[in-house]
Amino acid sequence: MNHYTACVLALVALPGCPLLDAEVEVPEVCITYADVRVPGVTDDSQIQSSFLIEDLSAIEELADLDASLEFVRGEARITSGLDGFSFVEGARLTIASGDPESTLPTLSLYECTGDCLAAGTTLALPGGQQNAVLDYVKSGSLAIGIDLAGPPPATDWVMEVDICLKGRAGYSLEP
Amino acid sequence: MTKRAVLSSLAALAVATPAVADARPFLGVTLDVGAPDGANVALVAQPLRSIRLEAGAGYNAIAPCARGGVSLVPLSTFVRPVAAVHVGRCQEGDANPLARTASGDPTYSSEMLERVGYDYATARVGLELGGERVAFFLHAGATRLTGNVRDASTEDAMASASITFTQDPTVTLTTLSARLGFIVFFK
Repeated sequence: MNHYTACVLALVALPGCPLLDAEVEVPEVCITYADVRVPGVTDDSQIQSSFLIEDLSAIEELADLDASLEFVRGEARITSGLDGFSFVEGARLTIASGDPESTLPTLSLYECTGDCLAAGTTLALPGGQQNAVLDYVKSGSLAIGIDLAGPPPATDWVMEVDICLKGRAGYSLEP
Repeated sequence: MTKRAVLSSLAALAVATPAVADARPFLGVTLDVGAPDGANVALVAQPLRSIRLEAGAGYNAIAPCARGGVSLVPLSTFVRPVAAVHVGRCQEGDANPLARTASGDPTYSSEMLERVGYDYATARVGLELGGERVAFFLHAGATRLTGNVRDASTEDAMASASITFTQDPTVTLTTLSARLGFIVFFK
């Protein structure tokens, strides 16, 4: 094969290649929901707090592509009303679709009993085994649930919650 | 002239001839435009007949860039094939003016376009037309380009949730690319 034949074959092969192949990698993106108000309780009932995250526009575009999206970690931070999370003996973080017509099950992202990572006003909620959340983001809104077990505070308090995800998306434009 | 003198002259010429035939140009300059390189000027060295090394600078309509590369030119014909690989880095710059020109919307502005920079690597083949000292070329091939998306976080004072990218997302593009230019050897 001479040099010109090799060049022609290389140029002929180019039309078989995609015109554009794009990949976006997001090491970590955090959705912060501020102002989660928890009313004080006077009995031994568990604290169950939930909130909806409906504005997902910044990551919905990522979810629309051929993407993978995983829960990495969560964090709850007391902003007023309490000195810390020392009362927490157990915690559970869940995610569900905020769409009432969705059939997606509630997914447990993190659970601890007796070994929760509470440090002052911060409660860390690291990711576990089940952490693929792409379908939940695609549903358009997220229902985040935080259950706290332990002697609950009698006074109202407020926290903010981080839900941190990582993802990868790809897009290819064929000729 | 005696037979011995003639033979001595021929022997001297035989020794001298290889040096004369091997006086190829060594140093030159290349100017080219292409994507994603932009417009570039580079110094070119040709240590071997079929190998060229280059290093230079350019502008991609957003910010200054630096580029280096190696070309393989196996033939010395007037029309000759070329294979080249280049690597480059373009500094971060404001791409909003370019976006406004491309979109036709003079009011367009995005925080994510305020700091656009990337690294790239290209592999191309093409043709070169010309003599030993001046030649025009056209290359086509593929480019892999990697950059970060800056300032992608959003915070709406009216919304209850904000989205923060704790680490800048990375975008990797692989696409076709081309380069058109000429090269002049002056030494």
